[in-house]
Amino acid sequence: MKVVKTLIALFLCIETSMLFASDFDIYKKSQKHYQSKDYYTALHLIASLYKYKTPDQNIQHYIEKLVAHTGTYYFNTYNDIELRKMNIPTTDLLMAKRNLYLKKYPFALKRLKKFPEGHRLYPEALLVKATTYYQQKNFSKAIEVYNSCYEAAAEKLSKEDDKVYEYYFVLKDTCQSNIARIHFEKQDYQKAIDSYEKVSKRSFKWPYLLREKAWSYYYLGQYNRSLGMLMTYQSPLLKSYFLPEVEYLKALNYFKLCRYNEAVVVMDNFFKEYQPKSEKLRKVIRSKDSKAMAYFDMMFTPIVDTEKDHHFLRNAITQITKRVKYQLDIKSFYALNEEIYRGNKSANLSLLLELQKDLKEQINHYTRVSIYQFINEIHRTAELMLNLKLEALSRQRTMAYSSQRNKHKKKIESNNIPTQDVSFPSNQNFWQFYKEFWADELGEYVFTLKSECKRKG
Amino acid sequence: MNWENMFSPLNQSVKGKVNVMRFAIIIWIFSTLIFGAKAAFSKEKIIYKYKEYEKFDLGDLQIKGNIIAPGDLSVKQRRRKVFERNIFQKRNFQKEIITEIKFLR
Repeated sequence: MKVVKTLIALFLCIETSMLFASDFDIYKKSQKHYQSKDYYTALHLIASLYKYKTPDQNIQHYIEKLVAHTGTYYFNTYNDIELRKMNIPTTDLLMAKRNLYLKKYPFALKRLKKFPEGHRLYPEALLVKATTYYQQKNFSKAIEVYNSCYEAAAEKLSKEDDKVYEYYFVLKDTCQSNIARIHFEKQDYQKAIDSYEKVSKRSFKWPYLLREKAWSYYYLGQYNRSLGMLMTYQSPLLKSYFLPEVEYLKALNYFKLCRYNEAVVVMDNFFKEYQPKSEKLRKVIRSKDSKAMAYFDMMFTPIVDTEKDHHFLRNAITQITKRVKYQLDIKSFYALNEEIYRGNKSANLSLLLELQKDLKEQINHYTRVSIYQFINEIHRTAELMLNLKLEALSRQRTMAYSSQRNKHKKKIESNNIPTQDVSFPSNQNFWQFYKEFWADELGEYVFTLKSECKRKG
Repeated sequence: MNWENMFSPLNQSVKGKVNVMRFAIIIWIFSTLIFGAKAAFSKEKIIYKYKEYEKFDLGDLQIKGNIIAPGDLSVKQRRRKVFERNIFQKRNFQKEIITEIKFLR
């Protein structure tokens, strides 16, 4: 009996050692690929080994090192079980994000509980964690974690080189703007404005935040300030930032000032100018739908040619190219290309070509979705505008009746409605940004329009 | 009354008077029936005639009495019902917060 037991134990030991030996061989092979800069081949070799078992700490560190070169894109096709087995901070972050989108908040928090502070993705993990608290309506905790995220990103900014500078810069501003957004939701608009102002004017996010800041001023009843902020979008520097909601907010501010004529003019301009353009854009986009990789190709078309197709298309593409996700994907795409064209004999070429095709499809899909979202946003705003226009016209009519009833001397005449542009008194200047403007003045404009509500109402 | 006594030879004079009366009653009944039936079955044609043209001079018409309401058309003023539409106002940036995480990777 003892002999049998010893034989079984011996057999198990040999099998385990053989397994370890084969794992070790694969690890060694992977490291060779790493040394010859075939990062994708190396990652694929080692990662596919640990789909159903957790690697030891050394292998985990090694995988993290590889992901720093390849990007997290490689794990997009992994399911939750496979990601969990890997048990590295990068895959934990990916899982947390998935759980956040699926509204499984406790699971998202669980995945980020032991995220190491020194990890390069730590600020992003804090961003996801804070957003999870925000989604749970735990605003105080969310603000606390967003603050930590801001500080962590700022610390990384001072250490990291130029390659990832933009990434941490965007992260820092995202965390800061999310604090402002929480104050906004809590209806603490002054605090929201103060938080928005901490975001630098040089930030990529600043033009988007102008609109949000204008909403805060709107709720504070400072309609002239809100209109001034929105006027910044007419500057040539912000030409590519076409946000349909800006036009709506402009009209809403005029509406609140009881300047219904001006509100109607803004809305009419929107319908006259943007509706035909969006229809044309939709036609252009539909013509591209028939081609398999049309959107991917479009991202590499010279901007002058894209502008010939459609002005909005150029705007949409400019906005997409500035996003971190797009930049990381493109970086991965170039890295893959480099590996393919380097022509190392040991590189797994069929794998690389497959990965490249997959990434191309992902970029194509992402761009397509973004452009369709852009068009849908125009249509959604048009619907809101129509509702506001009807209300403005209704108020105008009520005012006309009311003025007749009260025997107002000044009649509201139909020919008072300007047909082309909003007119201003001679002591006011509507700066159209012709020839020159001061860049540091952007976002600091204010209107001096008087409210017509008391006089007319 | 006894019928036998009535037509007996003893009452001849009375009989004659009765016969005359009987004859007169029968004649009256028949004549009433005949004329009544004739009147009932005969259809008389009724022809209505309208005036072919008649002219009214409204200006010439006069109404007698006192004026108690204003002569021109008027509508009584009342408070207008104002219907307000539900205008969109941004209350949070939840969508933007989630979208920005998606834009990262």
